[in-house]
Amino acid sequence: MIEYFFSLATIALIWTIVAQSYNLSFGLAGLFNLGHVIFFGIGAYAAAILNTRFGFNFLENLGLAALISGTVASGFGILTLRLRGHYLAIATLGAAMIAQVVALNWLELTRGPLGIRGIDEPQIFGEIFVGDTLPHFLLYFGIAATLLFFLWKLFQSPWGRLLRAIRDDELAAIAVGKNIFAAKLWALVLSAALAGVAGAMYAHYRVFLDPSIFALSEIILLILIVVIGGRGNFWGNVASAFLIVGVLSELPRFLNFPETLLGAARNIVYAGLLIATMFWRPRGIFCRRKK
Amino acid sequence: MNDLLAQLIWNGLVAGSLLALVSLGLTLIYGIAGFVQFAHGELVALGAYGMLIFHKFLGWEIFPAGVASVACVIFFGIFLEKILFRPVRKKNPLVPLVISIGLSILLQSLILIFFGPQIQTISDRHFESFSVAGKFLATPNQLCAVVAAVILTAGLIFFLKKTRRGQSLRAVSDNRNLAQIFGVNIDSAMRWIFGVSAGLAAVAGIFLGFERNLEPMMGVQISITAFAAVILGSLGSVRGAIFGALTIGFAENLLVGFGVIPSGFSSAIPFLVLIGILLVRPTGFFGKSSQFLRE
Amino acid sequence: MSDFLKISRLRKKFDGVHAVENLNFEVRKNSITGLIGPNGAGKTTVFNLITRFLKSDSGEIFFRGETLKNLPPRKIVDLGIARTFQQIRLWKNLTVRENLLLACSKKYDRWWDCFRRRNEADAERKIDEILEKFGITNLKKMHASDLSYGQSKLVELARTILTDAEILLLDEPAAGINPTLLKTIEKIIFDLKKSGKTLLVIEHNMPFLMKISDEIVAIDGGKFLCQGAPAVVQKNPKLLAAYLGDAREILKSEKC
Repeated sequence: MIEYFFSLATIALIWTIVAQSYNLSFGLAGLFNLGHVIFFGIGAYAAAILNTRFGFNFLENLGLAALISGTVASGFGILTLRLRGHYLAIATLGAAMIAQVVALNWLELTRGPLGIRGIDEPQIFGEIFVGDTLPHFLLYFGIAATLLFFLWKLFQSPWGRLLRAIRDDELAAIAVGKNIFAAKLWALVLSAALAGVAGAMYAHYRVFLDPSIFALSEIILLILIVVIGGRGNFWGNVASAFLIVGVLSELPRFLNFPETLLGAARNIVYAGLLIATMFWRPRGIFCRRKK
Repeated sequence: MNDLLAQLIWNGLVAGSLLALVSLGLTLIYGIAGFVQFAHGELVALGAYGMLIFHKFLGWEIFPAGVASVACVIFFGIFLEKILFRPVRKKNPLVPLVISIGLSILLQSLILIFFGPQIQTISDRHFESFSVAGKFLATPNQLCAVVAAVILTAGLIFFLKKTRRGQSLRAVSDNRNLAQIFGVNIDSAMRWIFGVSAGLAAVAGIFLGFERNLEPMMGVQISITAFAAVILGSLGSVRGAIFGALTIGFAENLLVGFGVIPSGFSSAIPFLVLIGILLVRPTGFFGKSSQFLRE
Repeated sequence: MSDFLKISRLRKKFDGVHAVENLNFEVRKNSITGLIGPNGAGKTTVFNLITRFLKSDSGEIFFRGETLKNLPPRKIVDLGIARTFQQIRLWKNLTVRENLLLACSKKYDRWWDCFRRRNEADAERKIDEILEKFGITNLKKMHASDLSYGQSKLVELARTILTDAEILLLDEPAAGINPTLLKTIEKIIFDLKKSGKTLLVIEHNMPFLMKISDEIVAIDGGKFLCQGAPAVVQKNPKLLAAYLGDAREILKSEKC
């Protein structure tokens, strides 16, 4: 029973990091990126491959995953950041599909649908942290808290203010001399790097990885968390991530859906909630300002 | 002509024709409602799954089953417009976009739950492929698909250009406020567009279902391929959608057929085209290049 | 100094229509120059071209003798040219204070500055000063979306001034403004000139523009029409002919 709690909590922590990183690029900067899960997946696969084939350990992988995801994001951003709205959404969706196809077919790298097994559990100074135990949870909690603190500082900063302005009216930002491309690119890169770290954490927790991590439906969870929490609202997103991943996602399980259909049932809940939110509270549940 | 080339061209034509039906609907919705309908691929899937219900499960003959399936999807499309998209019509276009993303996932999941994750065939009958002019093979399904696509596309163009209703739709696409001033009923225009697009999508779905077999995720792949086609041909342009669809249909088949791209990665071709276009010429080949600020 | 801001053989085409064609004129330093012309004459396009929001097809723009060609729009602001917009562009989700802060400095604009100890006292002081000067100190904490039209206009003007630009391009500063507020804006503009700034002002409110301008440049159909002192330009027959084609303008100027 206690393992169930730790398992849920660990996943919730990981997703909170990913969601908050998405809150940085989509929420704060307004970059309508439908492919954010790519960065999570790249971080996870990077960690998995670096660990199983080259022996890199947990901490090294956290750093390397951030670096790799961030670098991919910078290339991606340079190519796509001049796209707007619909076009950016579609481009990122296309990229997400490509990532999925590559993960499934580039067998030498990812072993395709077989996935990668036997990833080491986190090992720090010789101590092995076994999943679903208190020490492991505390470790992950510590990492998450650090990352979230970093994100919080970013949200509070003048750079964060600049991103909000850019999201609101880009031309006005240019008209006061701001370098909006650099700001947006960094937003994308940082959010990708953080998602990458979360991915590495996920790989070392699950110890097994397969291409399903690139599934498109995962983005709906992220969009939902950010929309409900309020775009750019740090604490709102912490709350909504906890509520949705920690509580809501388990609803189908409690309703006794068969295991194979759990994913689909969850997606229905998320999608339905997203649509409802767009109707009634597009600015999020926690917004204070009404138009 | 080389036999392999002839076969690939035929396959490309079939793929392109069906893709055109899907792309036309998508581009029309963008032109009139101002957003990209992410769940459009699911309407294609519903056309196919509808056929599964009427023909396979209920045992109806192919033609009546097809008509029933298309009719259902048309009504569903109109229903969606009324319930989901009309209330948010006046808001920022990102809102219907996000709603359509949610809708897409919702429909996929519902299909998965009701029909199961396995691949299914629309019909247990086996259709013999026949040889055309001794050069390549075609199935009756493929032939009907191309013929249907040509007829429907011609019909649509005639409808848009020559009929009053069609012209009023084009007016709405051009300038919504102006059209309203001239008495065009926007609600009715939207209903027509969603209905027509859904119908075209369903027809494409039925032929695709015979061609390729059904699975719950088929909608997404089709959506993205259609996005590629529509963007290639410029969002909102009817001719562009046809051009884009045929181009991608041919590209998919020729590139894989001649070994340029390994067949495992064939599904990535539309995405690559998509990204390529967005990088080089995001407004497509049939539209104007965008300007920053205007007077 | 006649070579302060110089427009030289500027040309811009939109979808086959010449929005600006072979345009030449100059703006003198520390002057208030009005830019007039019937609707669609290309006035805002000129602003867009000067600020590089649009790229010209040919011709050049010189600021202090240096060409502005190939510069990205944000560098234009660095050089000292700032603008307002025809439809007010404030950041609705930010407060007035935040709107103004963003224009003040670029010192902490990088993400890694989030770890630095920041001193924004200077900027805060400048903001308080200008809010006081405009008489809108009470608006400081309000969200820009809650402002009235007139208040927004003042805030946008304040924001533009806070960029510390030498040349201010004002796009219809008097549009939709009540007479009381108009007096305030008039005073602000004269104060700007007194402090050494140069202004290029697009306006349709003729009495207002004639009152504040040292010089008027008139364009029509993207082409240069005439340039000179307000009294002279007002009587220019070509200009009147251009406006006769746009009866609304005549009516407006007769009303005031």
